[in-house]
Amino acid sequence: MKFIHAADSHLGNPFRGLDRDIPTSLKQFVQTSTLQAFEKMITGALTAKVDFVLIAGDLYSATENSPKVQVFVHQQFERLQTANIPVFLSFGNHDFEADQHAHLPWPENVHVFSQNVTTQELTVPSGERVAITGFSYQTPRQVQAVIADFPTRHAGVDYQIGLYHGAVGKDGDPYAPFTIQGLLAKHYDYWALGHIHVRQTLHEQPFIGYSGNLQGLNRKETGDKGYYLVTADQGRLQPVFQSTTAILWEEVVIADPVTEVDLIARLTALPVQTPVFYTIKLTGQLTKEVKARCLNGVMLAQIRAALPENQWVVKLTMAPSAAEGLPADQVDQKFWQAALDHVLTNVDMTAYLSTQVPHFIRDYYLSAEGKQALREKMQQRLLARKE
Amino acid sequence: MKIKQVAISGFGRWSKQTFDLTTQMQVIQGQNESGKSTLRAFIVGVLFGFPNKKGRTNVYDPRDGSRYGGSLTVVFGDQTVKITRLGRTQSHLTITDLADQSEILHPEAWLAEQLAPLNQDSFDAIFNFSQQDLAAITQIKGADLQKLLLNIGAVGSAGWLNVASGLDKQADKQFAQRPTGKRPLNLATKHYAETAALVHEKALTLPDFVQGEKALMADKAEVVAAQKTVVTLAAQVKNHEQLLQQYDLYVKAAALKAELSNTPQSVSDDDWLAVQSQAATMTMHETALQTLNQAQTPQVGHVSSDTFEFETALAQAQLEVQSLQKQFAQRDDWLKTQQQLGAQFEQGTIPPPLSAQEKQQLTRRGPAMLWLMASLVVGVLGFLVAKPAVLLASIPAGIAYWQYQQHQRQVEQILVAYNGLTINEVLNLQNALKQQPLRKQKLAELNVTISDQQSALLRRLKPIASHFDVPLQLSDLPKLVVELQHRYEQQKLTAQHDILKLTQQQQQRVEEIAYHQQQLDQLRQAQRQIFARYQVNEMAELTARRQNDLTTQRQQARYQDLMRQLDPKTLAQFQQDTDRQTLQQALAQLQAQLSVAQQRVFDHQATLSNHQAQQAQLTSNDQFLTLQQDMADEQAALLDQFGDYLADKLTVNWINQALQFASQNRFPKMQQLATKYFDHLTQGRYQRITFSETELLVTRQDQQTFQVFELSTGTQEQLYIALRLALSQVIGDIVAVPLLIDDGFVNFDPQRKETMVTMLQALAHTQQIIYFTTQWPHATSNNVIKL
Repeated sequence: MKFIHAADSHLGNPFRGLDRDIPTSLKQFVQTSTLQAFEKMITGALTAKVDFVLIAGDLYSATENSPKVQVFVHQQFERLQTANIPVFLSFGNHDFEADQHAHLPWPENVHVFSQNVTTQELTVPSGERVAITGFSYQTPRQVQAVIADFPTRHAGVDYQIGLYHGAVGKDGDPYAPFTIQGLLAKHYDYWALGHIHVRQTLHEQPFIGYSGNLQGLNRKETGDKGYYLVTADQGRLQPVFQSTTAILWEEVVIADPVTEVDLIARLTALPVQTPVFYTIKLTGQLTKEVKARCLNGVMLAQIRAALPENQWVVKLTMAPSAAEGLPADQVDQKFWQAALDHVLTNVDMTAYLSTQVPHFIRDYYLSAEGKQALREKMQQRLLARKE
Repeated sequence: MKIKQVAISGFGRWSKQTFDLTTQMQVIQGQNESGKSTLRAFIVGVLFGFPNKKGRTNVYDPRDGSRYGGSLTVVFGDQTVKITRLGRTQSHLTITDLADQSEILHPEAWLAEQLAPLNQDSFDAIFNFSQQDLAAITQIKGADLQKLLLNIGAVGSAGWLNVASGLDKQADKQFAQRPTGKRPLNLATKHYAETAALVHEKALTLPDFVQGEKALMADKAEVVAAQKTVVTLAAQVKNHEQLLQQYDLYVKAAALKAELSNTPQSVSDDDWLAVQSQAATMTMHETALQTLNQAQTPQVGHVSSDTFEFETALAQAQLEVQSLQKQFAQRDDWLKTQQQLGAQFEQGTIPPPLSAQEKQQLTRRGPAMLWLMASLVVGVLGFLVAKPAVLLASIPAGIAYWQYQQHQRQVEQILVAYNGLTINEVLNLQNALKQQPLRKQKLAELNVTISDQQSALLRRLKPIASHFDVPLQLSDLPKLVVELQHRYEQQKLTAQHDILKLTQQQQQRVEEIAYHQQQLDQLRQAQRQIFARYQVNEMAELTARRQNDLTTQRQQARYQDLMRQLDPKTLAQFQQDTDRQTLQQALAQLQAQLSVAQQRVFDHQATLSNHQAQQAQLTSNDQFLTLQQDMADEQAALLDQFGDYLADKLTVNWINQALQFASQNRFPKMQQLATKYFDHLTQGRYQRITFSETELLVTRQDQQTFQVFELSTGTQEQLYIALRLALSQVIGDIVAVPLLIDDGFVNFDPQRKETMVTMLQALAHTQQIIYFTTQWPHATSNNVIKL
């Protein structure tokens, strides 16, 4: 028996954090990258002649999508149908209730899990009987302990697989919280998890893990992305990673760059297979000029212009070094540090961001990540004023 | 700092007026319009600069034309100076140290330094207030107060405050809080909202698309259904066409069957073969008979007649040959004689005999008589030999006559002819000569006879010789005859043998003929029997019958073939009550239905392709992915820009906060002090002042908390004054300037007013207070200036 465990394809999801300087050709590639990755997965299913395909939620990036995306999905699933490969699909927190909205009818080979935990059984061509248990989100949050509704392993089947979109957590957490012990207690042969975009194994045997998403969506989702091709080996289900990355996100740390030429030389020396989107962090000793050019964007423009088309620098940052700290003058450093913490802790965003400002901005800058970004920006400002 | 004297040159309603002030609490009392506010404005103007003429601001131009401005005598610590500021638009500041009357250099800077960190704003905010300012209490915020304190409290904060102010301005250029703002971030936000709306709007078209797709499926189903109908109908039409064709076949088959039923008995193959064989055998016998009949008689008959002819002819020829041999002997005899005669003459030429005339001439006797006698002889001879030769007699007679005539002349001539012979010899010879012509004639005649006989003989022998293939030879006729006879005998023998043989053959043939005839008869008998069986008389008829049989067989086969093409069910149907017209009508009806159904397919297909085009349009026009990415890009840009904006704004906060911390927390102290004053002023009714982010709260003794606007006007004013006093006190270690209070306690009840006055008087020990009021009912008198 052979099947695919995939999740979080987030079809139609744009790349976050790009600016408008990106070349048109690359932009078009970016727009279709989630679709390309998905198509690779389908092609992989056909090539490997798998018995079925599992999709553990977040097929779409949102409940809202478009004709093109739906037609695409339909075509891809029909490719599987032609090869008699069934698809077992559940919705996650992003595409919850996707089929309740305007949606094309699914091809016959697609089985969508409902809100309630249900089990679908099939007999694969090799004669083995497989039970697949899963559920779909009906809201962006699933706070109930859904795992309690999962039946224990059915004795009459050769394999039982759990299809689960959620995260480890305690009751009341938003994304169908579960514990590894809770899953193990069901005695399933494989838990195909979705939701976390980083590929990871929570338990070796029986396998409990995330296949990760098919394509990185922002600069934090670095590294190769793809799905698991799972093969039965003496009654054990062994996943093997298969890449579908269309555009690779990479973070590159460059220490002590002297000039832009030096920086460009180091970047072009990096091995490149698929188009790569870099986040570059400059560390170590930076000259005043390098810092200035980094801050005013000249350096970024220069690097972008110098690199080949399949290498794009999304962001160029400097790691704040401890040595640089805060201004030291009549006002003591401890006051600056205390004041910064105080300001960031007690910030009242509504005072600055009126209601016309989109919510996501407020949300972001209230998040730890956003606050960190603000902290860095503020430090840069103060340092610039000081100098 | 304390103000000892106010000397006005010209300012508003005041000119050339001097006021000496106490350095503790100075009350300035006057009715409305008495110039209290003008005086206060003058003090502020000298310290911080006169007001510029802007808008409706009162600039206090002197009413009576006195020189604008005046001076203050002020004590800074242990230094007493006179600050003189003259002229409004181009005001001139001089500061004179009263200790030595020296003028201070750079008076503006010096004065600013003395007043630092106060500027007019902060001075007004802390030390200078009026009834109107009290109303602003509802607007007051902790942060403003904090800032105010920082301005004064944190050492070296001015630079950082400038930085903060710069950042604040920079941030404000980027974004305005009001929704109608036109600054870059406002515009970007608006644009983003539009993009988001567009994305949302596009998403709303999805149901249409899905609906369209469902409609498309329905269209397809309809097309399929219609096509199915067409297929069914087409099959029916085809069936009916076949039915019609089968019907035609059926009709043909029926006709054939009828025809076949009328045909006579067919000639059986055995009979036909027998007849064929008989005919062949008969032909053989007939041919044999014919050959036998043709080959009869001729040879036998021919041989015998020939033989007879030849036998007679040859016998006769033998006789003729014997006769000829006699004649040949005669001729030889005669020729011998002639030759003897001829030998007497030269060259053998025998002269003719002398004519009678010649004889006469020679003998002198009438030769004519001689010729006459000769003529008689000739005549006789002629008559004897051959009658026609009689005529010859006339010739000598004639000649005799002619000879006589010529006698004389001719004697010589005659002698010439006799080659010198003498006349006697000539005359002796005349007898012989006279016989010569006769002999000659006889010889000639004999030759002719021989020749004739030979010719006749040859003529008769010729066919025989030819028969036996023997060459005809005149030279030896006898031999020829013998040869021929010999040949004849031989042939005769052969012929006799042949005849015998032929006779035998003939016998055999007759037998054969009889045999063949018998066979023929038998065959004819058999043939006649067969003919009788089919009621025909001759072969041709039977052949015709046979020919007919083939046609019939073909028809039979055709019939079978036709019948095979008809399935039993159809056949049964045809055999009942079908006719072609009914079938054709049904077909026409079906064809009409088919054409309608086909039209329906076309119509549905047209609708389908229309919908497909619309759907394809929707898909190809689908900007969702692009718009999403655009939106994400805009979000990224907005996050970044708002990050900058927030960083600017928060850096301002940060600077303020740092300065706050650095200014040793004057704010909490001020808060504490203000609470004390407020508590005091309200006779312990309110026990706490708290500052939230946005507002000021007071807590009553019963622990109820109120917002400022919930308080009575008087209490609000008391709160305000408590804060002002606290502020001025809390920075007292840095800067101490007089408090200027203009009609501050109008809404106070008497009791609170009393408390207030007491409190101010207590404060005035350390800080000069100049209090402007309309009424001063209190007992103190030394410190009241009445205007």
